[in-house]
Amino acid sequence: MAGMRQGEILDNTYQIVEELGDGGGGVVYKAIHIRLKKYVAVKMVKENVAGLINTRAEADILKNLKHEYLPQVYDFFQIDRKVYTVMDFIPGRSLEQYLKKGVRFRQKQIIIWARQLCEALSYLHHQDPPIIHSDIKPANIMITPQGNICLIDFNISFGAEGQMGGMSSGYASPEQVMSMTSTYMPKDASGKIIVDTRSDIYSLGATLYHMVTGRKPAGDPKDIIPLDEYDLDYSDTLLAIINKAMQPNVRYRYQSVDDMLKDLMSIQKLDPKYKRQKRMEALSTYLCLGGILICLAASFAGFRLMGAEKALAYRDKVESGKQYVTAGEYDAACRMFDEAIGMDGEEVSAYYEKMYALSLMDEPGQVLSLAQKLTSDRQLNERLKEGSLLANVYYMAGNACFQQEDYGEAVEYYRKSLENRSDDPECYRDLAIALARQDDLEGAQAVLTQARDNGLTSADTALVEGELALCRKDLTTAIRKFTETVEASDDDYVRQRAFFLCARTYQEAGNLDDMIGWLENGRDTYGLPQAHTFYTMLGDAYALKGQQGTAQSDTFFQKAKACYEQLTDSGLASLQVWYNLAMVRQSLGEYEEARDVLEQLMAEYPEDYRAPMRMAILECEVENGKDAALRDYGDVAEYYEKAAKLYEQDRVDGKTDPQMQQLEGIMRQLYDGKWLVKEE
Amino acid sequence: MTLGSLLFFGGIGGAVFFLIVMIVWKIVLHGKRRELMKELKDKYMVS
Repeated sequence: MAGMRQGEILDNTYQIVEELGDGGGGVVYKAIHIRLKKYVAVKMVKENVAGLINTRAEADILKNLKHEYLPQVYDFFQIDRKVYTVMDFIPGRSLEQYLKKGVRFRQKQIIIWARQLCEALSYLHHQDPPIIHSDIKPANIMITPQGNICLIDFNISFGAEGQMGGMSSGYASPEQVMSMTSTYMPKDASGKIIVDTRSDIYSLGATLYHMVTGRKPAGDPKDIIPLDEYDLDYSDTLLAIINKAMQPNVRYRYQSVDDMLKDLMSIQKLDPKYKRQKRMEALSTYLCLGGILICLAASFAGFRLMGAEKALAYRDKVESGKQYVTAGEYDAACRMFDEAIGMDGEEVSAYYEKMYALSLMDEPGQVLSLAQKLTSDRQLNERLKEGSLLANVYYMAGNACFQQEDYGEAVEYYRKSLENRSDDPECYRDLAIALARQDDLEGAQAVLTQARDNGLTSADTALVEGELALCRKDLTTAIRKFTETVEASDDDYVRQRAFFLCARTYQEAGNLDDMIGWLENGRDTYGLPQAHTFYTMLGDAYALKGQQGTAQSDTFFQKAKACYEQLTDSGLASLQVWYNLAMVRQSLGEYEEARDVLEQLMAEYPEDYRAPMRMAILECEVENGKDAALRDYGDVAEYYEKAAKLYEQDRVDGKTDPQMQQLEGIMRQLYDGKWLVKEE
Repeated sequence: MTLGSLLFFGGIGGAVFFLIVMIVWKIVLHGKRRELMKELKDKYMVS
């Protein structure tokens, strides 16, 4: 191709000043725009490349390109089959000139220029269609006086296939170089080698290779000396980026110039030290998070385990309480149940077992209080229903009311129990008895019929019939029925009830001897812990017999005393038993012992008028036994005053105590007889 | 103290401990990273 002469005018516009260089794609001249008086660069495209130019539209696209690191293309024309491109004249030197002088650039400079080249290429590659420079090399990179790069001589050919014009050996990608084997080159469906934007990435890598090594890469990739074989004063990270850009196989190369730019922009983050730091941060974070997760998991497991342990401890307490109940140690049992309730107040089994223990302890007031708590609390009530215990709770409450002789309330509770469990014959039995005690004999009879229908035993039936007979004052029938019950029943509770009822019936009939006989029989049948009520009743019966004033009175008082003392010694005595013991001792003339008991009761129950009342009667009897001259009723008056004061406070329901009335009569006599003088 | 409560309270205590360690370690690493970034900035002269 013939060159142009200095002064030659092209297209009547551009006058050639000098030749700037001869590249793979064509010869570049410095020219002056005649009218604008401005230097431009005119590139005369080589003929073999010019043949690739097809349309005017491509030229228009090139003219529209505008980028900081690209020269502006002004014109594009064809004269005599020669194609010319007119663009900005870039003052300064090309990178090649610096490299030929052996200038070694600092890492910082290389990175800055590499980024600028990437930005320029990214701009070209993002055009539609993408523009492939195809001839990136030091000679086509101008260093402006400002220190920036300008990528010149970009090719006029578009597209992504076939041979590209203007390539330079050493910088051209393998897929551009026909001499290279094409076995691992990307091909399209027709088998043609695909040359795309990645070729520019290779060329850029090769240019950077030249910059860092000072040597142009070999034309054949196989002959290129790997960067790590040089003793270079550049970071491994930069060399790794160059190495990746220069991969002969496009699959291992950067897939876009943007990827390469991204690595260059964050090159410090690719540094091994930075990566090590990040790894350490991630590792420590994962370790700590792992530790936290394990601890939280342990905490959660502990929470679940705590629940299970609490439930187990609760069950243990309840079971211990039940064992105490079996052993008759009700106070210890109640303590266990209270501890269980303290652990879980929403669980009902401890409440229920405590209620049962209290019912065995003959504490009807506490049983009722607990029953009201259980039945009024919606949650506890529901749980009792779930456990089929509600009927039993109502039944025990009914028994407690029955024990307190509140038969109306007992009937209500028994009915509620039957609402929850309608096939309980024992509940029917006790309901019938409660109705009988209320003198509702018809109702009792009707319930008895229902009880029989629900399988009430003959012994239980006889018990109810005995109660009915007792209400009708048919004492003979009552005794017969209770006797039948004692003989037929195998339930100790029912038999004991029959024993008591039989004894009561005999008492009502005025037959104290048979009453004592029955009670002695009951006492001998059952042990003291199980049958302390027999001892109480028997003591009372002996005392009554003693009060009849027969020759054997002292013997009966002694027997009564023995019964009461057995109860007091075993801790099973009620308050009334203590008073009865004092009275019996008084009847036997054992005044000191009687006084001890009463003083003890006064100390323990300072609000109870009965102890000072009995003490006044006792002291009066003691004084009565002395000679008239020696009598001093001062203590009697003192105890009386105390008892009278407490008695007034106690009489809220208006009931009168015959013994107190008796004492008041005695006091009147003492004042009337001038044994005592009233203080004004 | 039961095993359950030991696990529960120990777990919470351990989690708090690890959290504190993580926060302290993060602060230490943040300082180290800042120093490293300064060093890398000098190395690569990245603006």
